Amino acid sequence: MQKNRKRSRRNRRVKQQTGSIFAVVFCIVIVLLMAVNILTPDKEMSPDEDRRLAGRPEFYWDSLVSGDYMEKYEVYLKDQFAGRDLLRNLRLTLNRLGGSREENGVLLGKGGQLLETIAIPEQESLTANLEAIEKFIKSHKNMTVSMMLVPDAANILNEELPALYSVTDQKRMIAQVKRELEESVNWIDVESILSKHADEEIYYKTDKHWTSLGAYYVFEESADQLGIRKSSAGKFATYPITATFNGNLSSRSGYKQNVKEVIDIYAQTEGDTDVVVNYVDEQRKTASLYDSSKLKNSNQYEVFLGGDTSVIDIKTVSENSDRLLVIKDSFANSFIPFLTPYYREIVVVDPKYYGGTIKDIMDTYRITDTLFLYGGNTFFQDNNISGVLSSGQ
Amino acid sequence: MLFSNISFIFIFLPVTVLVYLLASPKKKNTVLLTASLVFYAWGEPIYVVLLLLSAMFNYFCGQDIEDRRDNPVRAKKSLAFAIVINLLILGFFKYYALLMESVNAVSPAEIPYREFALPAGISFYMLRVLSYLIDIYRGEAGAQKRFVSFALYLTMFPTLPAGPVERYAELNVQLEKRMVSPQRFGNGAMLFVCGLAKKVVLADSLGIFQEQITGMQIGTFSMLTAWIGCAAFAFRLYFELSGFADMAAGLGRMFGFEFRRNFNYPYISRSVTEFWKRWNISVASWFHIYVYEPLGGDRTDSFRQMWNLLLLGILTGFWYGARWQFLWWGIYFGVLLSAERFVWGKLLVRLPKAVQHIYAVIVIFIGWAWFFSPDLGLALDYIGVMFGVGASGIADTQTLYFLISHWLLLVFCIVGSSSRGTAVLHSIIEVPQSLQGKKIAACVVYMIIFIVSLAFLVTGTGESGLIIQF
Repeated sequence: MQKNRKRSRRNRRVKQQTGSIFAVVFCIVIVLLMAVNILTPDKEMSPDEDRRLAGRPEFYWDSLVSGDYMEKYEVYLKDQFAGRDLLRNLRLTLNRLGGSREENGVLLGKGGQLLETIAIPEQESLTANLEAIEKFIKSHKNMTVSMMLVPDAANILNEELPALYSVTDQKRMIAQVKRELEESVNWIDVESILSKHADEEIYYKTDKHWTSLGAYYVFEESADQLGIRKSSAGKFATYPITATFNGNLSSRSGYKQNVKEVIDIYAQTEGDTDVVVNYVDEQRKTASLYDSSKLKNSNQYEVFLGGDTSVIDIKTVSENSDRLLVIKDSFANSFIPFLTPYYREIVVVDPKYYGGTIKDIMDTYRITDTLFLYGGNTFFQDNNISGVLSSGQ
Repeated sequence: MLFSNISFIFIFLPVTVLVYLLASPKKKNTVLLTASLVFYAWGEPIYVVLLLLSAMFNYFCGQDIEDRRDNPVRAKKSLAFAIVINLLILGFFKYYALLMESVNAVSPAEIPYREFALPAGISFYMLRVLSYLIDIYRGEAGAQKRFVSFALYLTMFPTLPAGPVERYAELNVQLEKRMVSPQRFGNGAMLFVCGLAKKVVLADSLGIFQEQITGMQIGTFSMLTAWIGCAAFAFRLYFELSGFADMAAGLGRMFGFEFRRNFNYPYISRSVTEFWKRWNISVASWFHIYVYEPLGGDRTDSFRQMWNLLLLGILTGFWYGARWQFLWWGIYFGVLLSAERFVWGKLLVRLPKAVQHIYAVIVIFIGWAWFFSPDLGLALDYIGVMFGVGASGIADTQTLYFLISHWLLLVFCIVGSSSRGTAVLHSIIEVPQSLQGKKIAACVVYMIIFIVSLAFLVTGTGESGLIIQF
């Protein structure tokens, strides 16, 4: 007891005497950090996090009065804080030590596999989307409408999930969509195709998307259902287009930022494969489905069709007269190259970026087939599909 | 602005400290007041006008009450007028929306109303205003002649966002005379750093953890998971509030003020009564002094006491926020306080200490389930799961996953919420043999805490947190 009291008295003495030293240390550290922050020039992008950093907010009297300016200024200070990447790594390391296997919606699975956590559907917008899709199908009776929902890796790669993690069941959500649309839509069961190949590299380790291999399997097994007669074309050779891919899950979470992956492309070996790819809004045309300039970016997945954009019109030399409309998210970007030999024209619409109406599209292009292609998480959180489909109808 | 903002730590604080130290003793209060108004305006540019007007109004009310002190009836009228006006202001900003929502719920026609944003810190501010007015009325303190000192008492930036609520009668001496020294400044900075870590490292991480569990659908998680979710919230709220209290006390000390301790390890309590004395002490004692005591305190008959304890719970609950769940929490605590005093309190103290402690933790945690659930039905559902009704089992792999993936955080919380936390910190500082070594060790330890806090603050996903609701 007495010893305790003695010790606590000594503690107090040490603490008190430390005060004046800490006062100096604290002030020096604050001033140093301030100086470093003032001297470091602002950055526009963070390669580590693969996102645009906030810049110094513009000053308006209105934004000062509403408090908007101060909020933006705080975000700016955080984003541009000197040594942000170091601090982020420090936090991640501490969290890892503390047992955490989850960061910013990304799971650190076994064998270095990163997986996006499964999102819970927004019931209201989901219902609206499904209704809009159904209405769209009804008003275009002569058209075949197919649907592909690609389950996210966490629902296919069960073996790679972190130990003990209980994953939200996305398969059930997909089954619900299937039940509601089955009668009107040509439903393609992506889930069971991918499940068969769960032990192969059908998803990237550091990115949420399927690999070209995953997309290829789905193409192979769904071609009949899509009404594609595989003629002489359909033989592919694979080429690695990059071996330094570090995906978006990695930059989002900070996990596995040193891992480099290969992106393969599947090229037709027979037949004429010329295409004209027209980025409608940007008024830019190229002759390739791949935009190799994107390989210099931190998100190399954008090599497929140059990333997401509102409308892309792809004209091919196919003898077939079918014209396909693809309403999609980024999963489709690496799937569309498989389809080009079978359609005269493929119109690719991303509702997230498309501001026009579906009527415009249907009037402009003489569409014969439609394919909805979405990744699970994007589809279940989407609030753009219904807007685009019901506009101008 | 909050203390856990980069703009506070790296712009506002250094500038304020510099100007404060350079200012002559007479000007120091003016400097602090100006800083406090800037601090408030940074987050609430419009409401700072309201704050100033309210301060002026209460300054004159205080004078008026003092002038009429010779005539008790007139003094009482003056006090009543001031209190009513202040409560109306509080009611308008804090409870109006809830009132209209409730009226609309029962009335056949929808009455349109406009909801105003809650001025930050208004609940703490009002307690200080009322304490000032009542202390003058009771003659426990004289009305403040200097407007600057008075306004400083009400709006001092360290206590502005989240207390502690210092009584005017106790703080008025420090408003006129206080001492700043490098030693006290450094000690204040150390306390600030500790509070910052509590908020941005522990509370914000716990926030993400807790919302993961309490956001799940009832029926999809186990009994033990429900308890872990409750514990996560309990620790989150504690570390957030006590973190802010530590930062406030630290900042206060840097500018020469000494505040009373606001949290005294509440989770080591062995009863609800004890918890009430250890949790948010300045607020609890405010209600004790200005509500419970005037109603008769412990001197009335047991029926009155029960009623008064219930009222105390209701008022405290409603003070936390204008939502029904805070009311349920308040009633729950009011009932428990009565029950411990009149029903099982005597029995409780005869039980082994460990059992008392387990009892207190269980009862307090159930209380938090009222607090964090969005409505009564969900609160009952959640509490049901805690006792196995609608649970997916007693425990499952998910429970284990939650425990393993947050083990370090939970260890820190358990150690940090008792006096062991400080003891561990000290034993690290005590490792070097020489006094000089110990001092250096202390500086290094606190700097590490600061840098780690910065890492969480700059790159974390934690939002402004719970404090914003109060």
